[in-house]
Amino acid sequence: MWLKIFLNMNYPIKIKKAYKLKYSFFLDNSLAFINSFFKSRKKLISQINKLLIKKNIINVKLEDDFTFLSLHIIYKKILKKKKVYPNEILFIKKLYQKFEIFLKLRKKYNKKFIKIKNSETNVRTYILLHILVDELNIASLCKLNCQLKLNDKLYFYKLQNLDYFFLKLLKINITNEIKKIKKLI
Amino acid sequence: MKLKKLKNLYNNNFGVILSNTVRSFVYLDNFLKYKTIPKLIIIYSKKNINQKIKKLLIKVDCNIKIIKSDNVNFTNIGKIVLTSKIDNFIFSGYPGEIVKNKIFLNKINLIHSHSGLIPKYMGSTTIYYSILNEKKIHCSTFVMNKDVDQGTILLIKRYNLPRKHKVDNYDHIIRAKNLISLINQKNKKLILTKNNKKKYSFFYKAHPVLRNLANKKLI
Repeated sequence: MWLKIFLNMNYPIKIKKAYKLKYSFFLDNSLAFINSFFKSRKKLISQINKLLIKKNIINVKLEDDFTFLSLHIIYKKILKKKKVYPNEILFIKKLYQKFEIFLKLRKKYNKKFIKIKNSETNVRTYILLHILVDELNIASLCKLNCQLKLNDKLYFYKLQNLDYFFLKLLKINITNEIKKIKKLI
Repeated sequence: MKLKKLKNLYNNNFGVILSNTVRSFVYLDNFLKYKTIPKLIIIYSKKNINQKIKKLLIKVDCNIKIIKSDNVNFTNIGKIVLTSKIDNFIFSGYPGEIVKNKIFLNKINLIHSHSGLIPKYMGSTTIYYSILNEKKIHCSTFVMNKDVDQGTILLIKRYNLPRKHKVDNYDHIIRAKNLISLINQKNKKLILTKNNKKKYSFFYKAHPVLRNLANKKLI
């Protein structure tokens, strides 16, 4: 039983170490690593399912999180099938590039995309970026690479703090990610 | 103008600028193995030089300079390069390092090997992406400019997929082999590519899951 628990925890523990090194110098070619990846992602889905039943309503103040607010506007546009402007696509691309380099996003950037606020954006931004990365005109492996890193961020947050809407999005994100990985095998 | 100096790139008439990394060790090891010996070796590192590299340095018959810095743009390295009067230098830097020193960009040819087909695969850990996408491995050698993985391409070669080695080790080996082929090539030609770099994606460090899957593709 303890071995089973260890295997389930294997991926989050290893990936937290890899995250600290910005994914450099980390290589695990074992089958156990891939298996523990799938197990930990499925565990996340089951956790989300439990939280979805509770239908939590959480009031979080996000007024000062400009990165989240801008992404949310773009996301709503896509949801309503409205036209997304090139500057909005560029905004997503800049966030994608920032995330790939620093592995975290800030609450506010200026026009030259230099951070104005030092505090990190909230987890919802990463969930939205996961969806919006698909809108970019980049190679599909680049998208998947970013989405894997975005979902890894969830191991640093408490899912209980997410509201119903974002939990649902998160569930879709993880399911899509697993599908994409399975296609590669 | 400086590209004309490429005619001076041949065995015993080139320099090497190396970081204190496994890749630099593989470069030196292959240079010795294929008897392609540089005129000058510059190693830069704040830490003590790796013992394996030290052992190889004893075997190489050339000038060696050790610089206490982790930054290739450190002015002392530029000064040594200028006074050496060597026109062409091979470069193996630290991950993510960007060359900004104008001596390297304007006065000499700083030659770099990249394990990916340029411009299609620009960026980091492209060998994994190329295996996952098309099960092919290429290596491109080029004269560096201010942009990452862009410059005048000198040699592009396709390599077999690794059997004995893990992808990470194979990455270093093909880079070294490409450099040795270029140095020993009699008529060096510039490879012209269409200026369509915007068409291609820039690849960032591959996620461990993707690296794992790329290794699995080889079995």
